[in-house]
Amino acid sequence: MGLSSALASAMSGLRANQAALSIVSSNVANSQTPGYVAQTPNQIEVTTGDFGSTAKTTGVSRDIDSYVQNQLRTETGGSGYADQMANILKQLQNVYGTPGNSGTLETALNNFTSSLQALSTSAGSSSAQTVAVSAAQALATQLNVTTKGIQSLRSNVEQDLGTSSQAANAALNQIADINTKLQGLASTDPSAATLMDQRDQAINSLSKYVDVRVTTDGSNQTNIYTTTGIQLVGAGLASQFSFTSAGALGATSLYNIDPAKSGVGALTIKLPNGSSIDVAGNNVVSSGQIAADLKLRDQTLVQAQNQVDQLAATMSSALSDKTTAGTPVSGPPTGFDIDLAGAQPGNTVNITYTDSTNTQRQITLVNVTDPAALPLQNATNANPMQIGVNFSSGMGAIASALNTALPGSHLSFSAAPSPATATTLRVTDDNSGLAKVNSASSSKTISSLTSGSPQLPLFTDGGQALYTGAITASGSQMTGLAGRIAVNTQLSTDPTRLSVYSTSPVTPTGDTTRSDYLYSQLTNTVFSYSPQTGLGSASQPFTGSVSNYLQQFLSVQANASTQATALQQGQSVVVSTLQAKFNSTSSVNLDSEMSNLIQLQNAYAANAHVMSVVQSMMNTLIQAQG
Amino acid sequence: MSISSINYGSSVLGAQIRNINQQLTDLSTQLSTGKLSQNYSGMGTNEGFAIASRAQLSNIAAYTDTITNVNVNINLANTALQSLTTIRNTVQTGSATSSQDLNVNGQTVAQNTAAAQFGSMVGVLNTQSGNRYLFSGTAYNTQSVANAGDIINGTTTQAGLKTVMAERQAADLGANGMGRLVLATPQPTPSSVQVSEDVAGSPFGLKIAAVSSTLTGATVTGPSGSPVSFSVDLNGVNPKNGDKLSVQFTLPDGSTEQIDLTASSATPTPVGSFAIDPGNPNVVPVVPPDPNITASNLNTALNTAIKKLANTSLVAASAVAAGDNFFNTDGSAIGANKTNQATPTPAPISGTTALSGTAPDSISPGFSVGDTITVNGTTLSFVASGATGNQINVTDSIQTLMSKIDSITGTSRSSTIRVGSITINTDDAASLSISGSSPGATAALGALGFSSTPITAAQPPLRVGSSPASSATTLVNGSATTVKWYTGNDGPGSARSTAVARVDDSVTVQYGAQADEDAIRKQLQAIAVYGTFSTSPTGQYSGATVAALSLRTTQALTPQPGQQKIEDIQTDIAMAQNTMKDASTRQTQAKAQLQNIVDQAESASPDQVASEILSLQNALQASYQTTANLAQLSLVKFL
Repeated sequence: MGLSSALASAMSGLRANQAALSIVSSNVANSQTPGYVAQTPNQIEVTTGDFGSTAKTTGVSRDIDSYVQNQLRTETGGSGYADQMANILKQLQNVYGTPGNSGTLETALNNFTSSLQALSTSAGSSSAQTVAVSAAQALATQLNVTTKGIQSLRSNVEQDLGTSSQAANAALNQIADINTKLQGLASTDPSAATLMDQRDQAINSLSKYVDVRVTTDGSNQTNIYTTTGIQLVGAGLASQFSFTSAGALGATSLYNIDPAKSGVGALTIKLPNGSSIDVAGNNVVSSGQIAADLKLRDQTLVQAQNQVDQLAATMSSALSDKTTAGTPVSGPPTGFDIDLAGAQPGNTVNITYTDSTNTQRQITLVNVTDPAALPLQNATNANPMQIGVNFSSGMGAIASALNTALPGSHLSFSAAPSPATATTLRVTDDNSGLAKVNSASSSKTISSLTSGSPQLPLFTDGGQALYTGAITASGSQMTGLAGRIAVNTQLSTDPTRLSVYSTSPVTPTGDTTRSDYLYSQLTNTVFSYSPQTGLGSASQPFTGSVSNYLQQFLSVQANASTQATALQQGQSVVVSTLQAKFNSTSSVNLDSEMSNLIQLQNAYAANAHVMSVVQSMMNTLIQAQG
Repeated sequence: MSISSINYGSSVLGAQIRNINQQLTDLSTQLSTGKLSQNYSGMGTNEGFAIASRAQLSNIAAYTDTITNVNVNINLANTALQSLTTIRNTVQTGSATSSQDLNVNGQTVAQNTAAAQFGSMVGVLNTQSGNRYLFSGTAYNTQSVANAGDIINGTTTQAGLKTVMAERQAADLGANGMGRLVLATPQPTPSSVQVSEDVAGSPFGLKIAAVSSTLTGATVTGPSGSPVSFSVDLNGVNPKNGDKLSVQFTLPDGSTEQIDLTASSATPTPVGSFAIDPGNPNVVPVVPPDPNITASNLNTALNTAIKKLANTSLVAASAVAAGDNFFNTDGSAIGANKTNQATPTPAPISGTTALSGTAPDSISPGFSVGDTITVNGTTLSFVASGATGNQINVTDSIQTLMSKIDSITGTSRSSTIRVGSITINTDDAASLSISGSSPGATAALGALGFSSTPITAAQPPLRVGSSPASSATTLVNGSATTVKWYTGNDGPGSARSTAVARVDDSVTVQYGAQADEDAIRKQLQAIAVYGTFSTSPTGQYSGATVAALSLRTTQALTPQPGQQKIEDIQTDIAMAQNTMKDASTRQTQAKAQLQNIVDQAESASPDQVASEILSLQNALQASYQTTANLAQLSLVKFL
């Protein structure tokens, strides 16, 4: 081996050292750059002639643990979901207020019942009447405020869907863009490493919004799918989320799979091939912030609204509905006559019977005057089972509709014969001995403040309209009632009606029948609550007093919030741990970079020394000749 | 905003430090508010119990308010009732004294006192607690009793007690001051005397109840007939010295008085005696004793005795009856005179007259099996035999029927039958209503003297029916022209139930009172009559009249067994107070337990919070130190 080849080797060593030095310096410089993955030079030896070899730097490689990276992305999606859920549920808790303080539903309800009790004690003194009416107003206002709070949270979530889908779109575009750029580059190309860092960073930010499955093919092209298999990025082509906001949401703005009927903003994803998919209707995303937003907007907060609506509806009906037991028919067949006269839309007839398996079952006939709303839907084994009929369509028509609707019940409906009025429905068993009608009653909303009954429409739908629970094609009157409930304006102008329930004969002063009734309805009487509130089930609805119900749903919400917060904390620990694990391999370790620097310094000095020795040897050779 | 290029924050250590910081913030909030959290979710799993407990606590707070208010009312009512008792004792002490000296107004000192006490009694009865009149029943915002002056003197349009008393006195005395009795003038025969009531069925004046005689050889007829009369015929025989004629009268207030006239040969003839004509043995021919002169003497003595009785006891009884007419709600339905089917001479129906059948002493037409009559809404049915409850045998007597009716109406004065005329008494005239449910029953009621259906009583206040009062024969409803003394509510049901307060979930107390409750009304009535009555200061009978009234007042103010006393009302409301006290004690305990539940669920113990803050502080300091040390450990430092 000649001196010149030694010089060449030393030169290559110096070049390789310089390349390595520039990588070390770039590592050190980028040690705090987000998404930067530590690089190591790929150095190879190149044979030159018989002896020796030179060093050559062929490129860089990225220190990455792709398994941890994938897991990190999955958990980031979960964390985005948990964060959003916990955040919004915590805000929902603020809507319910501080326990025991004023400005909560429970305090407003307690104040109202206390004021009714005081009204009974003072036998209808006018100051007690005024206090009771204003307590009722405070309760109605509290329900209105709670509804407003829940709906503004829904609106916020709706807004966040727009922001999140834009952010996701930006990330999708960036990934597709980088994919295109990377097409011509080898994976070890230093500039490719930088692009891949950027692409990983974009995927990470995407995973916060939606759940992603990432695959990278041989030509360094990344394809991204949701876990349900919808393609988000395919090589250089990206799908796009598109969101049309519906503006501020109200209690009646609900999601419907039919875009024409849907009252909320539509989130669709447009695939590169041009087809569009409804994200909410097809469960396109199952994790990430967008999934959380959809769930909150269409389920969790809707249920919260249902809970306060049910509270408002139960209170209204409890005070305004008069229940009349049916007249027994001695038979055979035995049963009851029920007078349907004066029933408002939504008023009901309740029938309890023992069926052929000796099980007690209930049927609720609902007065539905809008034919488009029929038939009413029932969950499997629903008890009571709801059947909608128009009470004013004539007893013959009602009876035949009911007989058709209840084929296996062994019940028989018919128009009650004279002397019963023409509006009287008769329900009996079918004389087969397989069923027995135990009781039947009708419940009708009293519309007058001075009907002679203790019931009165104290709470109304908006101040004037009666709340009767009417069901129409556009939904139930109960939906959003909590936002509209108000004390009857006639009562606000004349609070004496809290004691005076009859004008002919005039209720005597000191008669506490009405206030006693109102008090016991709100504190002792047991009602049944819709399973839509998340309490109870269709076959075994939750029953309890108004106060019980309030307590139950507040507890349920409190637990949901606590669990969401716990999940969020757990998730953030998981993400932190994975991030730390990922960082331990892929982030820049300054200590190792520094030790590399010392080694490079030494190697550089050694190579330089080889060159200076070669030079002195060259000098010696030249002097010897000359 | 966080700077994402600095990765330290995302490390486990960094997250932990932030977590500790958050916990410290939460704990300091707990320390300052004393509560675990500011929302439902932060309160932990027991929050449901806390919500339920708070609802109960709110109920208890309302009950406590109720109990406080009701206690004030009860205490005030009790004070008022206590002063009523004091007033009663004061007036009673006065009326029981023997001094009957009249002042220029014709009243004794005790009567003056009573008049003053009446004013204070009205004041006491109008006691208010807040805006609530305690003695008005459910009409708590209406004054309980009219003004004292109005009650006594009346208003421009309505008569007061004074007028009612004067009218009644005139009606009871009659035009000739004989208590509506008529002495036959001339005597029916020279040897007989006859006394009769002026009009049959009149409620006024003296009523002849019984006559007995030990007069030798004399015949007493009656009392009988219509109008009722009796006669004494000496039959030409002079009575012996000391022989006695006794006549018993019923007075308008229900009391009885007796006149005893003794045959006397003493000279001069003692008071309350009549002279036996001695004849004149000292002349010739000897004038024999003449029984006809004795009869004439008897007639004169009767006249004097009746006049005296009428102007003393009758006047006092009349005042008492007027008080009853004015204050009381009782009334009577008086039937026409009827006879049984005895032949040839039908006799007036009596208590023993049968309700059916063909026996001489039975009514016609009679009741038959299956007939029913309705008394104040309760059905009384006629059965063949074995009657129980609200059933009556058709073979029973009028007396049995009257007892059945009395037990349904719950009257405190039994119904009576007197010489063919039935009087059905009731404590509440407004509610009395008796009717037959079938034509047969209606006809039989007609045979009992009640031809109009339903049978009702004239409603109080009762006034003398026609003018001049001295010849009136009926009492009529005078509500249009008479002051209504009780202005509160007088509904059905007990007075106590007019104010009801719920003091616990299932406990209510009743503490109402009405000024027209028997005990209060009777006292008010007696004091008003006593304080209002006046007589001529110089009148011949004045002293005796006032004495008779004093006696009656004393008696009226003495609580009678079986009748309501003021103390009974006090006992009732004291029971209510006791019930409330028990409820209050229970609630105090329950409150402590419920508060405990709320505190356990929601309260942050300051000790625990402080110690947690300390340990977090240590952890945070250690973390900071470790972080700082780790940051120092870098090769960069050593190059």
